[in-house]
Parts: sequence; C-alpha cells; structure tokens
Amino acid sequence: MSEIISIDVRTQSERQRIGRILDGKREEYAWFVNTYSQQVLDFTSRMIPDAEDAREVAQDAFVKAFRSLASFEFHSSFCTWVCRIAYNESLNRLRRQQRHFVDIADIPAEELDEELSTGREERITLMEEAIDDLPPDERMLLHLYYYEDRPLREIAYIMDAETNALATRLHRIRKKLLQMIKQKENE
Amino acid sequence: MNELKDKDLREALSRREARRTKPEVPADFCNNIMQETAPKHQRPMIWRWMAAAAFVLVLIGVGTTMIEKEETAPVMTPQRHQESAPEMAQQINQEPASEMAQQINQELASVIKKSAPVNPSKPQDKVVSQATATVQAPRQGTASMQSQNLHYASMQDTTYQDPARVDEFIAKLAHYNEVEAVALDCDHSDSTIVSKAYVFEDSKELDLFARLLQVACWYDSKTPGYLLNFSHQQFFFTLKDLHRGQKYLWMAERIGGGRILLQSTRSTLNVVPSPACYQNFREKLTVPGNINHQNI
Repeated sequence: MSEIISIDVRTQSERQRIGRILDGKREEYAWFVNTYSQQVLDFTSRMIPDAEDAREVAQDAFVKAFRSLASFEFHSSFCTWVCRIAYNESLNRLRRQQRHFVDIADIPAEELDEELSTGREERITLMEEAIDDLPPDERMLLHLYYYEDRPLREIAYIMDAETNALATRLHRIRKKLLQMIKQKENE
Repeated sequence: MNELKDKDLREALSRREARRTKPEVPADFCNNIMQETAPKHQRPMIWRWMAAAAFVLVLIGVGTTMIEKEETAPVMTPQRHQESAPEMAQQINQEPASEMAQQINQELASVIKKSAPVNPSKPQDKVVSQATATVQAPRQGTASMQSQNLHYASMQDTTYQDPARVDEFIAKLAHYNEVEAVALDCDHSDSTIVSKAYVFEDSKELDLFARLLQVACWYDSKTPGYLLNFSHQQFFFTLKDLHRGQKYLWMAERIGGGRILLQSTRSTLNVVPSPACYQNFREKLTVPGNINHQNI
C-alpha cells in the first residue's frame, strides 16, 4: 500500500516537473536524466551488445522523450515511457542484424511447462547459452517477464504490441528455447 | 510473480543477471542530452522571419493588385447600392418590430460594435458608407498586420504551443475589429468554466475561418485533446492542457446576415460545460427582424 502511495506521489511530482519544463524551464529535465539514466542505459545495453551504441541509443531516447514531452499523457511512469522509446530506438538500430531462425516443433503446453522446470543443472547451463543466442527483442521479453516480473500489459506498452500477441510470442519463444536446448543436448 | 513458472528459465536469467556487469553512466551523459535539447536559435529564426516577410510581401502584392482592379474596373457596386437604398430603407421602416425583438436588439447593440468610421443617420447613408468601407478595408488590414503582430506563432520559438494562446489570438483579433466578448455564464455554480462568445463580421478582409485554421495548424496533431473539424459553415477545434488540467473548445459558425459567431470555452478536464447558453445566445442572434441582420 505504502509503495503504491509513494509511486503516486512520485508521478505527481514528475507531472509538476514536466509542467514546468513545458512552461520553459528546460533545465528541470536534467533531473529526469539523472534519475533514470542508469535504468534506461541498463535497458538499452540488454538489447544492444556494443556499449557505445547502447549509450547512444539511451541518449537518443532521452532526447526524443524531451521533444515529445507535450504528448506524454501519463499512461505510465516517465521511466516506462522512456524505456518504450528506447526499445523502439534499439530495434531501429538492430534492424539490419540477421535473425537466428529455429524450426519450432509443436510441443504440448503441459510438456513445455515440465521441460522448462526440470531443475537440472546442465539444463540451466544450456538454457543460459540458448538465451544468449536469442535475438535481443526476444531476450528482452524474457527478461521483462521472468526477471523483472512486469505484467504483460506493461510489457505490451513498452514493446508497442497487443497483450494477446505478446502472450503468443512468449509461448513461441519458450518452445524455441526448448528446441534449442534439445539441439544442444544432441550435439 | 507472473503466471508462468518455468523454473529453469528463471534460474538461467538470474544467473545471467548476476554475471552481468551493469553499464556505467558516463559523466557527460546528462550534459550531452541537455545540449541536444537546447533550442537551436540561429537558423530556424532566420528562416521563420524570411518566410513571414515573404508572406507579408505576397499579401501586400495581392492586395494591391486587387485594389487596382476594383478601382479601374467599371463596377457599379456603390451606385447600385445607392439606387436600391431608398427601397431598403422603406422596407426597414415598414417592418413591424415586436417589443421582444426591440429588447433583444438593445441588448445586442451593446454587444456588437462594428468598425464603422462614419456613423450615418439615414439608412441610405449606411449602405453607401459600407460599400466604400469594403474598398478601404484591405489597406487597413495590411497596415494592421504590420503594426500588430496577430500571427502569434512568430512570438515564441518553442515546439510546444500553449493552448491558451488561441484565446490570446482571438482576444487580439476581437480587439482590432472592435468586437466585444460576451461572457456566457451558463453554469453559475461552476467557476471553473469560462465561456465567451464573439460576433465577427464575415468578410473577406477578416477571413476569420482561414485565420482560425491557420492557428489550429500551429498545433501538433499529437497535442492532447487535439480535434479539428471544419467545413465552409462551421469550425470546431479542441485541445487539452494536461499539466494545467484544462480543456479548450473553440467553435465558429456562419450564422447568416454576414456574421460569424465564435465561442471559446475553457474548463477543467473533468467538467462538461452545458451548451444551453451558447444555443440561447445563438437563437437571439438569429431571431428574424433583428436589427443586426439589417445593419450588415
């Protein structure tokens, strides 16, 4: 409860700050950059392996957010909004990179649940390797869903996708991971 | 925790995360962004002023050629008016004005001040003076464009346009054209609603619809609450200022008799202003036999 209140208070103060920026106090934006730069840089570096590129994309995301500040309608926190911009910027940067295609077999949902929860050490090690082989956007989806435990609708907002489509995509990535692990086991 | 358990996957992600070194924010990160977001004054300002100057020159050129054409062409407009004036005067005198209509006329006479340099006593003189006024109007309009900066977009060099600036623009336009704002006080209990009405002359010189459209075009369509709709008959424009918690509505309508009724309403976001006052005011203006119909 207290967490919800503190988030609400933070959103209110952000709203006021944004109001002041739009009234001409541009320097107030430095507060947003200083507060969220670590989070946004962390986000972009997950998508983009090159540190310099990741830094540039994070910077571009902040600049773009500043330029569209008037259109920000507070449907999310400021940080989530910048992450959404950063996600799109990262995808644009990665557009030319080749994707890793894997033939996905049809695996029943129950079997998939079991296969991804074996608790076996070697499976976890192979899983780590398989995650590294995934394209950045799929890796980001797994990170947001499993590691950060963000609700699907929030991830959908960041990735600019429908919640249902995202759920389907998540299911496909799980199947793909299992397929990749099984390939590695057979090698 | 999210619905899918997938323990292996979660464990693998946690281990990757533990191994991962977090990127450090460079010292100049914030400075770079603040530099990028700094307004770039030099070039855009020059281009903006050059464009404005070119626009004014084109306007003056078009205005001058039109005046020359009107002066040289054998148009008999004033004479024709003069010939028909006595008949019109007779018609006006013959029309029975009801008491109610007279009352309304008195109320509206104080509301609408027309920019008439001559105050003619006879209806015949009125018609003649209006006919000559239409010839003089373009020159006055051009002078006003130069002396009063009605095009508010040139005032400030920012990408964000404050919705309240539309009201400022309308107030300036009304002031120049000697049109008074009428406060429409429908929602007596609610002081958060500010509604005003203006009755402008529907003239080519003023070209109110074009000016309002020009104002609307300075707003990004992504501006919160942006809704623009217009036809030859009506103009409708809304905006929201989420930071001040305000919403704005501007509505203009050709109501006949060579007039345009413009309404401007500002209220807090959660309030729905009543349209009753505007409708009443509009009905008053469109009552047949109204003196304002006859004057224009």
